[in-house]
Amino acid sequence: MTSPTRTTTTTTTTPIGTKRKRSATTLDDDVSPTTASAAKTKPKRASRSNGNQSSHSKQDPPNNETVSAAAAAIQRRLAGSSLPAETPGLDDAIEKLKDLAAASIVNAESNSVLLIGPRSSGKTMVIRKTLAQFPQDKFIAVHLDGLFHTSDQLAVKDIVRQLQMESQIECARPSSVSECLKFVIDTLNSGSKENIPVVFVLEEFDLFALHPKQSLLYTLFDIAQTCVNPVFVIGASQRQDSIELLEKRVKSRFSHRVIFTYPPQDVDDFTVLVRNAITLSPKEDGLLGHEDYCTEFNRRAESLLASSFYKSIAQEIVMGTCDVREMFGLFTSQLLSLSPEQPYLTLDGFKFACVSQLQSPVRDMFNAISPLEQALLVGIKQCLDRHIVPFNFEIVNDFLKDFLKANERSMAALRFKKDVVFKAFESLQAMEFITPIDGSGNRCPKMHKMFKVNLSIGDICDLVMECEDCPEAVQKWCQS
Amino acid sequence: MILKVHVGFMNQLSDTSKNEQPAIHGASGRERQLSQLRNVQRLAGLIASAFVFGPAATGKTAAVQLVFGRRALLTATGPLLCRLCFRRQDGGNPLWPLVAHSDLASLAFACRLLSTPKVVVFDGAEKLRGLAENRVRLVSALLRLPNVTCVFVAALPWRQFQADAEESNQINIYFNAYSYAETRVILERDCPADEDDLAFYLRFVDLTQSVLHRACRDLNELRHIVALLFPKYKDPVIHGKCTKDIKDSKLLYDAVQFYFKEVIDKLYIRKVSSSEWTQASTSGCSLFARANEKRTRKTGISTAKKTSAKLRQQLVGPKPFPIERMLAIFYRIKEDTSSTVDELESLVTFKCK
Repeated sequence: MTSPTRTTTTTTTTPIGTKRKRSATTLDDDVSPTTASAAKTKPKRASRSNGNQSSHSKQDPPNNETVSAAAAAIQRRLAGSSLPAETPGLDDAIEKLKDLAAASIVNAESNSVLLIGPRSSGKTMVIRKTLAQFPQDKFIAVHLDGLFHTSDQLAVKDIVRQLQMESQIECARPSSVSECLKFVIDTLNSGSKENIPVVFVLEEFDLFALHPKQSLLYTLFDIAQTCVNPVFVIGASQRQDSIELLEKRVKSRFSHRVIFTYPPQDVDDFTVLVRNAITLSPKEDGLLGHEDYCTEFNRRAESLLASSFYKSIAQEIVMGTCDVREMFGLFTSQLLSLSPEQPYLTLDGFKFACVSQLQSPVRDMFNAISPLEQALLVGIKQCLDRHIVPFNFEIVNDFLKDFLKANERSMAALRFKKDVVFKAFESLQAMEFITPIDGSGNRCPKMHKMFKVNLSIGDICDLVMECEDCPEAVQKWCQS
Repeated sequence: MILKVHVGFMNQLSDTSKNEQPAIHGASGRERQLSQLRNVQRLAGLIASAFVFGPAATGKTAAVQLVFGRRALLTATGPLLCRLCFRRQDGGNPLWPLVAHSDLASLAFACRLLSTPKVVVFDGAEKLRGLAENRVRLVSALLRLPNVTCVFVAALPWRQFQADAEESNQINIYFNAYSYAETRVILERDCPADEDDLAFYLRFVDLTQSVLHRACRDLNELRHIVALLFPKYKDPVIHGKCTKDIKDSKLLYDAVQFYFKEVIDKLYIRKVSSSEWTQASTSGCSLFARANEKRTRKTGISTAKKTSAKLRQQLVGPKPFPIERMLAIFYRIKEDTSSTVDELESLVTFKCK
């Protein structure tokens, strides 16, 4: 039999291109479990068989298409749009969810479960991998995301749309969210003998709990408790207190089953994820005929992963946010620089990516502004020194005027009319070095409008002292 | 194919400068960024978003136009509501129905059904900050759209967007400010068609840069000044007072120096409407009212280091004060300023209500 959802998911075989695994809501239903497990070993084998590849005949150097294909293949893994073969640390969660899902899909029992874990710890991956293990025609999956479905009405509208039941709803004209949902579930099963389980996947579950009255959640959990039709509700959230957000009547209908997911615990686990993502396998990635390129690519990637620089960055991320996507972002940035002249992921490229992604751009911004604006910032620093916070343009201009008066000779180039200085002040505001504070009122003349600065005294000092273009007198003034 | 949406009310008038011919042709120090953007195009749909940023007039918009085409560009202007973003009607584009949805859920659904991934460029992305529907920030939702790569173009670093999408990592593509030499190369391209002596024009460009480099780093403004002043520079030559020869450059400089001074001030002049003038005079009085009330008349202009305690009242600006006080001062200064006084009296009564 063909269910409406199945057709929906098959039309979108191009997986979702968001960076987040959590948001990727379609399933790669053409990947059967056997090919998925075959894919598991491929990247590793490719990286191990470096020595054997030398017997191959000499191949053409990688051209533009090859490099693009390689970049696309890797990015597909980094973005999480293809299911990874290995999921270190998540197998427990997958096993648990699979048991629950089996009860629902195979034995037609209703259930509800909540996945809780920090961001990019693999909640969506768990859901996708679990659901991919069941035959696609045995259940219907409905995907909702708290970021898109900002109200219950929108969510119900989308449920109807995903189930392709707009026409039936038109006839029924249900008046409320719950009525509509119940109607949908009933109609879905009216035609067939056996009941088709419906799996609701709610991403950003906590955002649904913020909807007024929580009527969507209430109805879903209520259906799961009372209805004969099997319904399986899976929520995914980063908030540890998600359950506490639920109203009493909603909470009592929730099964209180919670599965926790954890991010990789140490650098080694972390590196396994990265290695799986950035090594190429000629067969899986459609690079047949370019085995030499893949081998060389993997060899360079291995040496990159073995370098101490990579390890220090990885250590930093593991100790900090433990967000594997931060590392993936660095590699994505590096992929953007791949070209036929530079077709490999190298340590230098990685270092460059780190600089462009991690370094604060404030220094570049400061060096790009005009000397007058720089001098104004030093004037603002003088205000901070004297605890004049907040300050306005008149105060800063007064300091600047005193300074220019004291250094009449050397600083003649910076003497401008007040309008000009005010424009420089406004451009500082546009670059958000300074922001107006609320409460000073819009009716206040703009020269007197109060501002606060977004840099600290030390920041300004560092910026001024390390700027080569900055006049010496300004630097001296900054230190005074 | 590329998605075309207009965010909010695209103001054609204010954006004329952005609609001009892209300033980037060939080499202009932007090769790296262009190749990165081209790779974003190739990986469209797989990358959630790219963040293009850098100071004003560094070729950001021109570069994204060159790579993604004009049709991909959305200009965010003015304060707007989330739902308005996707509502603007724009004829002639078959893809329009895709974005005619009034809510994000429909948009996400439509995007999921796209056969080819798309790139959407949001120019002036700063304006998208703070937009939210039911406490869900627009930017964080846009980052999740399936099959769509969002390219944000902004003058501010991503840090300033953090409140809107705190949990996302961006692929930064930084457009650094043009160096002195790069600016010269770009200005060289602006050489008027009727000018046959390129060396003569370049001498003028050098002169402009050396005069203005301190005050003005904005390429747009420099280009404007060069276009504006070059005829003035040429004037003595046309009148036969000097020649285009390098020997006469001192003479030419003397002739044009006056205009440079003028133009620096003019460049920054903001037209002030008459209403602001009245506001200015009222604020003068209110300042006085405040100062008078607090009896902080002794505003001795000391050259000693200023402390917050000694900060002069004029610098701080007006603070709240009883409006009757100001009225009294008005009466005191001028007895028949009937219109202003009437206005103020009506204000007082209005306030009392």
